[in-house]
Amino acid sequence: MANRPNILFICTDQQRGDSLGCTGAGWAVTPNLDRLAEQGALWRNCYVQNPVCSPSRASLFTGKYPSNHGLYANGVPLPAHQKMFTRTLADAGYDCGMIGKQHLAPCDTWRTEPRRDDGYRVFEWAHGPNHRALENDYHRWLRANHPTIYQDIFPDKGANENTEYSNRARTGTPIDHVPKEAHYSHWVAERAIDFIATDRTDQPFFLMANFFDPHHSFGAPKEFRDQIDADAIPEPKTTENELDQKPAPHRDYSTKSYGGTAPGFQDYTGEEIKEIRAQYWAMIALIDYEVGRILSALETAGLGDNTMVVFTSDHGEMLGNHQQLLKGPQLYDDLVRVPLIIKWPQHVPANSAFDDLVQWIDLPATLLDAASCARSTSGQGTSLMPAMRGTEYQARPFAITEFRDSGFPGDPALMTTMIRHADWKLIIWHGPPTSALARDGELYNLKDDPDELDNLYHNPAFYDQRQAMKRHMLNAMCETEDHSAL
Amino acid sequence: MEQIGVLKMSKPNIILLMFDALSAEDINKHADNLPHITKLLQNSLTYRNCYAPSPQSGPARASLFTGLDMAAHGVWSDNIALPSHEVTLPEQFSKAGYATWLVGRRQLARTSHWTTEQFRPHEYDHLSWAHGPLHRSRQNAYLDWLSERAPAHYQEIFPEQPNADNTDIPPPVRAALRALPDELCFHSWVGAQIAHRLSSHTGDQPFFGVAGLVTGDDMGAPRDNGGSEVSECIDPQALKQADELVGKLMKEFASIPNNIILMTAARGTKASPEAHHMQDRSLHVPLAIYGTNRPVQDYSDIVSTIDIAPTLYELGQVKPPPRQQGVSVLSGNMRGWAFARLRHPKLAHQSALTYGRYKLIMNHAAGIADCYSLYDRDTDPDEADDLAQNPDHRDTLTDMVDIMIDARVALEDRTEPRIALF
Repeated sequence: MANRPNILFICTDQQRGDSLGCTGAGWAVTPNLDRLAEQGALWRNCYVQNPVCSPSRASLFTGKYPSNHGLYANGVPLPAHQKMFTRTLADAGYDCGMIGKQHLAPCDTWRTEPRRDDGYRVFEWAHGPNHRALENDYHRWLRANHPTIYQDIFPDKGANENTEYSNRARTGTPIDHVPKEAHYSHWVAERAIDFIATDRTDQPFFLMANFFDPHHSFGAPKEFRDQIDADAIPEPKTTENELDQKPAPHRDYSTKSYGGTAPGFQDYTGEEIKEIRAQYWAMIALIDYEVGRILSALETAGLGDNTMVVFTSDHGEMLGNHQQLLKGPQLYDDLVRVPLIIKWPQHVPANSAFDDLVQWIDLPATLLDAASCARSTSGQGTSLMPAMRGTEYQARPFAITEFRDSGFPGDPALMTTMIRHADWKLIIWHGPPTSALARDGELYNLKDDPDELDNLYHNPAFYDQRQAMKRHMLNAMCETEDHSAL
Repeated sequence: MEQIGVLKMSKPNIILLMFDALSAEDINKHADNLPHITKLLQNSLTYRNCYAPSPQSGPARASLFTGLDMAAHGVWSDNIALPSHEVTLPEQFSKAGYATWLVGRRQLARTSHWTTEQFRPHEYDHLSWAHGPLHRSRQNAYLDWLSERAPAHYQEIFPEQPNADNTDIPPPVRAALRALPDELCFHSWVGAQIAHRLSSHTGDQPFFGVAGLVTGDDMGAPRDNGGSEVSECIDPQALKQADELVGKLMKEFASIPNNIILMTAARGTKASPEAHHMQDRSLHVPLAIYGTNRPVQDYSDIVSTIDIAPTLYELGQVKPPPRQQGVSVLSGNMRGWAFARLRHPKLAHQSALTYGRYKLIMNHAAGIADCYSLYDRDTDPDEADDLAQNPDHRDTLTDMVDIMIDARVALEDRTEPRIALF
């Protein structure tokens, strides 16, 4: 047990899988994350099990699909009997901490997220930079360290009391544009560096450093916006008549996001979308800068060699592609494929890359494996360590994502399921008895059509392929049931 | 004061008459021998298309007692205990002020190796538990009764001490049990216990009683006509004895106004060793609600046994527990579909959807060419003519596959309340 690694788990919010230099975004300013990928393993096909925050994160913490952990939508608390893998790590002797956003319970109307049996010694929670719970640890830090900035943005009188303020903002809000030294992303790094520097003698640590960005509202400190060349970012991927061949709710979501409550793609001019994309990558540049500081601190403390570093995100962002913004029931790769980098010197070969289909629920299994903990009896994921160690590894042939009216509620409820199998992707828009909506679907060949523009679902020439994918979906639904008591 | 009294009196006494394994097809087949069951079905709210969510007892009973699908309660196969955080019918009735009792089989926990079931706190005020006449737990109340009342018979049936590591029932034991006079049979014991419950009932508190009847081949029928690890075959003699009990209960209990019998079965049986596990014979069960001056009507809408718990809560005027997936069959808004799953650890996993005129069965271990079976329920009730490969039925198969996907998602556990937008 002496060689158990420290684990530094860095998780951003709403970051697309293709948003890094090392995953194809040549215009991204991500030198630190690109270097991290060079030093470890890059997983190019990592899928999350739900496209919005809270259900997706519950899958990470429990290792279960949303249909099994019970937190099927934002605003639903994780059922009390579900176990978190951080508890297992703590029981195994890890010093555990969580800094930033967690979202395993409702946080709307500035609710404070309650603690669970989570195993953390350190819990510095801030649901977001505009979230005005008194327990927002970022705000407490900001008030103590940058009182003028805090007072300017959140004055005693006249502060914005609208709880959906940042969701509905068309551009960045004031707190997004503060100098980097006062920014939420900087706070996460500062506190992570402090946690890493804690004297523990031989005790290993687990730290979850959860950035809020590049979540909307779309705004970043000017210093980082200045680093982004908006002209170098390609135009959003779509075709003129794309919405005509997609299930009808795509059109509603193109008009208004978040179940009709937030500005939609159609509310913006092309120039505005271009600026949104630039601000998005400015937020990522700031994250990269702060991740670089955390990784330096790790080296300074002499912990670089015996620390497993994971970088990932809870879901993606439409970012104007397919004439969509933000996130919701759309199960394009834009939303469900996320970055995944795992570095662990001497255990994970540098410069390794994997195209296997893996899922977010595999991460807790991987961390427990790296920490020499027993496999979770209830977790449904598979450790990725054997693949990275070059030992026997059988990749799951599919990845699955379940959206269960998980974002802002739809009327009728929107329920979608995605299965990726080999080069094919099937998305079902559920009808009765699951939803009152008319049943519809999407079928893409990701090899020929990686941008998912050509929906083959209703094309009679692909009838057999569609039925083959439905069989895969039904079999995957059977296989992904929680048979832990069987 | 009088009004309060009236309200109080209006809560009915309810007996849940629950067969372990009895399909609607079994009742039809043996109808000549079942005058009382036939009469009850003809004078009830009768649901002719009621389906169990599993052909296995453990999962099906867990669903019936919780109003939840297996996807929510997690009891996927036999010998898995219902998780302690779920709420069962007797617990909720007890909380609502009912006296609760059980006579006979329960099966919400492991019973293999003649294990004594663990009961839950505040579940039953009174227990006369016996998993069946051949289950040799030391706590088997029927065997206690038999050994006291007829020691010679008992000694003849069980010449040896029970051995938890050898629970096969040899043919001579089965024969000796079947040779018992009717007044010593399992269902006579059940009847005597219920009579005792009724006579000691004071009337100032309503009761909810469960009579767990056993008519599968655990009753001693020779195991040569299809009993298997999953599904039992019917024992006609035990069924006939159960029919006598039903007649007795109709006369002595249900003749009193405001007393209700809900009769159903956890699951069906198996017709032959070759029979499909997901055929109607295994899943299609009786459901009838009977009582003096109660409505008599025959419904053909498809319902599920996960709808029984909400139905009983409505009959008993008991607030249901917060986690419920079933819908009361009294609501007039019946589901119209039923989904069943076989998730036995040693058998190929299978799913079945009954919807409208058709039934679709999927074998999850088979390839695209033979994973589906499709039957026309109207023209082929015996499920003999598989239409899945028939090009004339391609559109039906396509539709049924789509509905199966949606039905599967409809049964996921979304019982945790959404209390905020995010």
